[in-house]
Amino acid sequence: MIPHERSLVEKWKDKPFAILGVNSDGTDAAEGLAKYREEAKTMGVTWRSFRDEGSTPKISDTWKVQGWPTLYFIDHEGVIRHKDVRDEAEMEKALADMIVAAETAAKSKKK
Amino acid sequence: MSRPVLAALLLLFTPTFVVAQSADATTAVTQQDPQAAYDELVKAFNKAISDWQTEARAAVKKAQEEGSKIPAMAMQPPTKEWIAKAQELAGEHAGKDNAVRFLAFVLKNATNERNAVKKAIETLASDHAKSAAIVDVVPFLANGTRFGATKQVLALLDELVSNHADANCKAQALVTRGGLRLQMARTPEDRKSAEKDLRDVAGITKDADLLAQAKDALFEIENLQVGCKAPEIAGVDVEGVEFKLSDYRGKVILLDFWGFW
Repeated sequence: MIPHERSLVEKWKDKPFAILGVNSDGTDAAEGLAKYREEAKTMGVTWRSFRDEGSTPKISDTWKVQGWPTLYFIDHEGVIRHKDVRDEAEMEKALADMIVAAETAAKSKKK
Repeated sequence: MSRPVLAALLLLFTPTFVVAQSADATTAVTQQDPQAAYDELVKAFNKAISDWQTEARAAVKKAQEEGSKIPAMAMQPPTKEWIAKAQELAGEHAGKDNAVRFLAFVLKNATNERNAVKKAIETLASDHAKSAAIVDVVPFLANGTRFGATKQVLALLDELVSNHADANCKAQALVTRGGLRLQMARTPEDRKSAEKDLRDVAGITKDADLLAQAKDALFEIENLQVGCKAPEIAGVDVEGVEFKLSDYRGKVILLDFWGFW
């Protein structure tokens, strides 16, 4: 999971693409945050995450998350386009198509 | 994969009971008192689960340190014995309202006991579908779907929605059925039928808790489906710095609910 995500961030670093996490490691406590920092360094997690416990109700509660990990694919206009595609190849294809759409929209806006 | 699954199990599998403080359970109570028998069962069960969690955490930690495989015991909470006990107690009170709480125990706490769950649902349908006592079990009927009993669960919910005399029981059945339908929905029509159940709740009850549950589930239908505008997230990052999901508008976002654990 994380290695694949790392590869996507690298591959699309110049594209309109970002991974955003909602992390439930309890980083509101010093111990949780220390552990998070250490693991993130080891695993090469460079992308930003919301602190799940940092909002009330928890973001995962608002989003009715039933199991972890849960994925939402959100397009450049903020619309949910896919949910829980887990197969890595399928995931990559879905995101690639969405990136093309985002780039096309950005171009037509400039004109 | 085993690690997140296990972490989820350890995190989520906290017994959900509030143990009722029965008056001096050791002396005054006869074995026939079903409430006392239930309290005893729950108490013993909670202790067994909490002991298991401690042991499982230690085993996982050890396995990780040694780089060895996580032992099987850590993956399976010791529910079997308690489910069997609950079944036995349900049997003792067969046909009476007092059986319902034990059947509820089975539905709430089974992890692997497929037959017990199916039997409990059958018994609820055959013996208790008209009883007022069944209302407390209704939310847990949804668990039956994890044990291959989806059809039976839906049939019982249909029965309660159509024929139960108590409005709140009907409403609870609608909430549960709507949630279940939503969970299983594959087509827009499926989602519509889920939505209808949840909207119907407001027509038959004023119970604040039930209305809130229905509203909550409707939020999912209205805001979290493919094609919906993603709800805004305004929060803080792991370092405590504020930011918003909409800060990233214009980009494709992979939103990942995750953790290292």
